[in-house]
Amino acid sequence: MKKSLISSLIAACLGCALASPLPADAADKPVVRTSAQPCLHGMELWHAEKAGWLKDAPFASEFLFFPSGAPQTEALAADQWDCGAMGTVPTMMASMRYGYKLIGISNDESETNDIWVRPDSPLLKTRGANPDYPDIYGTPEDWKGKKILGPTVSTGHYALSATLHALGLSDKDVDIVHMELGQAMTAFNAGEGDIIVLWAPQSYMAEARGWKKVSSGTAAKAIIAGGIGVRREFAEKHPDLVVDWLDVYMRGVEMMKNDPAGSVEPLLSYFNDYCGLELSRDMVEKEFKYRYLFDVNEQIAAMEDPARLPAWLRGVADFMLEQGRISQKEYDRYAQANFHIDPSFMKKLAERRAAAR
Amino acid sequence: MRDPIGSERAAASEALSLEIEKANYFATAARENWISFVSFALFLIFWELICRFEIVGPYQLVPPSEVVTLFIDKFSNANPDGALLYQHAAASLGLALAGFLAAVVIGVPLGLFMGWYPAVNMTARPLFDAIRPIPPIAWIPIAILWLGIGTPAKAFIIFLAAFVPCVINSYTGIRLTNPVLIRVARIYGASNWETFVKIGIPSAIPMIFTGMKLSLNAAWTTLVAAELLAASMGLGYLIQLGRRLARPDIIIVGMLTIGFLGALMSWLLTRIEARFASSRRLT
Amino acid sequence: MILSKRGASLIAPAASIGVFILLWGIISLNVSAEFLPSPLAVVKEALRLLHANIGGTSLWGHIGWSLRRVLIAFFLAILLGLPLGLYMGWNRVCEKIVSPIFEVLRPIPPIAWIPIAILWLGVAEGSKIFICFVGAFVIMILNAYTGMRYVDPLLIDAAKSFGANRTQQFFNVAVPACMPSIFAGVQNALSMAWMCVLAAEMVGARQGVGFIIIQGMDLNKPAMILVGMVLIGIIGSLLAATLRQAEKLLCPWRRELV
Repeated sequence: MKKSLISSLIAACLGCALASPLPADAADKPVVRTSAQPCLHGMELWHAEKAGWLKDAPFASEFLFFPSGAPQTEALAADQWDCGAMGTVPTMMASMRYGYKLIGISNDESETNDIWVRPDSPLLKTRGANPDYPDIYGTPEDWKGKKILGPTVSTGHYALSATLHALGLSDKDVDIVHMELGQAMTAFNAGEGDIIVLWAPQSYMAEARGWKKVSSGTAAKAIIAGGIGVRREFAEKHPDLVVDWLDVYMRGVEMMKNDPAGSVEPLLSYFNDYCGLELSRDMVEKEFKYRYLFDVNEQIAAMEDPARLPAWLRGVADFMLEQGRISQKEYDRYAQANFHIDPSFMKKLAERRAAAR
Repeated sequence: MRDPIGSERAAASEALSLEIEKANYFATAARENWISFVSFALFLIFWELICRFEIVGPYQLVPPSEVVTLFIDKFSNANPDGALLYQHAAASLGLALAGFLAAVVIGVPLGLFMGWYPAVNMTARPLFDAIRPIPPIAWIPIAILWLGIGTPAKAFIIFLAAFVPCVINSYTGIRLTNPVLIRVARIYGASNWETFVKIGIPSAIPMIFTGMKLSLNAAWTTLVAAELLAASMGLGYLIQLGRRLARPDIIIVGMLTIGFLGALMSWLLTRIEARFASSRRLT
Repeated sequence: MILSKRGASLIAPAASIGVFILLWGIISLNVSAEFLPSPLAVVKEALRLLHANIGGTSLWGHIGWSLRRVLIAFFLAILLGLPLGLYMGWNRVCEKIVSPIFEVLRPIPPIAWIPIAILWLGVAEGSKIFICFVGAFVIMILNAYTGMRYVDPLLIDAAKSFGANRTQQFFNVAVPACMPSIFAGVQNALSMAWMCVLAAEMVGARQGVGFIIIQGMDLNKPAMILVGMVLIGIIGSLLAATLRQAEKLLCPWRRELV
């Protein structure tokens, strides 16, 4: 009986293993593993697959979904994906530690990394206490000592620090409690904290609840660029595939840039049907209002102009250095490598498109 | 069907003889402790070697030498996570102890009452059984809504995990009370409450102690979940920040600190329990 | 007498759950739905989720995914943890070799393994199964080990004097003698694996019961979170009950104390 027990256990185990669905990888095209988050910059390849754009592409896509940047970076280190899009902070960490190449800008997220208060907050009484920053609400005295909820070491935190700087304050003047977005919203809703740091699409939910925006990356003149990137080893081994992949990705970006009205439906479907969020149509419409998108030529210009993408990244790196999150040595190495920006793939794509025309 | 009371008695006497056997065992086993040291050293060397010779990728695992370096460094360097290692450990210990104490104060009496009074058992048991399988992390949003984001909410998460072994073990402990003693007390005219306090509870103490040990373990292992709620210090927070900064070395230092402190606490409690049990046997 | 006792043992739990739900309902009437959704709202939400797809998977699909992860982890934990635990209890050298490493790794909660699991196994099913496995494996080893340590030495001595060799003593006497403890371990391991499913699905899943809770947290919908919690609770109890039945069939000589 003992033996039959053991063998039945093994059989059950095997049964479970065999019941697992096999990956649908029919064609013998090389596979590019794409990573994405429940965010506008994750939608491109998902939509490409739905819309049939990949039929003529020389690669097959495998789509990997991550709730946030930390697991996405860990999976990058584990060789789990090749190309994808992440926020600035994970992109920077991945570049510093794993040589991840930044090959494009998914969107300008400065406006969608924002800071909110409840409608009865005293911060709302004053606007533009520092005339150089007219869109920041509240006086330095209003901000001082406030309890702020939100994820630390994130682009949202960067926007917050920039806001505090603009008012002549620093992180030490306020009480920052580290919480993930979902938890922070639950807590803020229950009356905890005075200020909350969010980003889209959660900030649209905040707006729907009647909370008021008191600052954002844009208001604090901190430019936050979402990164498109590629794993270093993959870029070295298959540079052409990266360009092919970028071609499809940029097709998605250009669709959203040129036809926002027609892109609402696909993005809504990505958020609600695939990611399991529950966004409304007008929230998704705001995505296109707040997020600036770059076409291929704008991308190249921004990447090559030292006053733009490199400067934006330097801003984030300064913030990380000042917070003691990275060492001076890491900072110098990162800056010396030009922030791991590599416009060559985008340029190749531009050449290829020009030749095709 | 076997007489349930008889089997309980047998189990109790069996437990006592095992206790003695265990003491003998530990005495002889102490002489072989060098094997443990050698094995642990070999484990570390193996770990170091697979990293040095890149059998696992450099991103996948950090060699123990680097972990130790960082560990020492973390006692004097607050960067990059904003606090020293012992500050993180102290914050976590405080939190775990708060949850643990709440669990003992509420869980032990509840378990004892459930074991003694069938009415309490029938009322509380279904709820207890229903709540038990829900993982503590799932309570995070509820804890935030009810208790906010401070220590009470985090201690509540820990309490939920720590409270289960307290209840189960006190319940079992009191059910194992020698029925002869109960009958004797009754014959001498003790009321049910007196019997419960004077006979039931003292005889359940060893089991309660085991329960508290398990409960402290549970409290300590729920720490990371509790610090997921909100934190600006603590070992769970250290791990979270290590993830955000893509620093596997910080993550491993956090994990191992939790591991060593946990092992240390179990060891201490076993020591206290051994002393406690031997003094009981003498009386 | 017996009949009325049995009747009471059926009515009392039902009554206590009933009173609990009633209290919950009364409290929920007096606070906002965001603070505590009423039982009715939770049932409504459950019905809605039964028909709607969450992240492209039906409610049953989510349950199936979670069960699959948990069961694979559970069987792996038995397959590896049981022999190791038994042997640790049997052979002192083995115990001395394994225990220092085990003692340090044991207090590390499954959720703390998430980053390492991703680094080693990626984000596919492997790391999720690993998280559940860590939880179940520790429990399995502990129970098998304690069971073996607590085997009455008289039994072993008796076997020895009847001329049984070490292997026979182990397989024919010691292992059957610690069957109750093994079964307790198997039960606890299954509940533990199931309780870890939420942590496992925090790795980044789009399916699973844990995903429903995580999504409820992200979307700020307490009713959805409660549906997920109730689901985890019910399935956890069902799994435990199934295993108890299985134990009754496989180990009829064992009478549960508790």
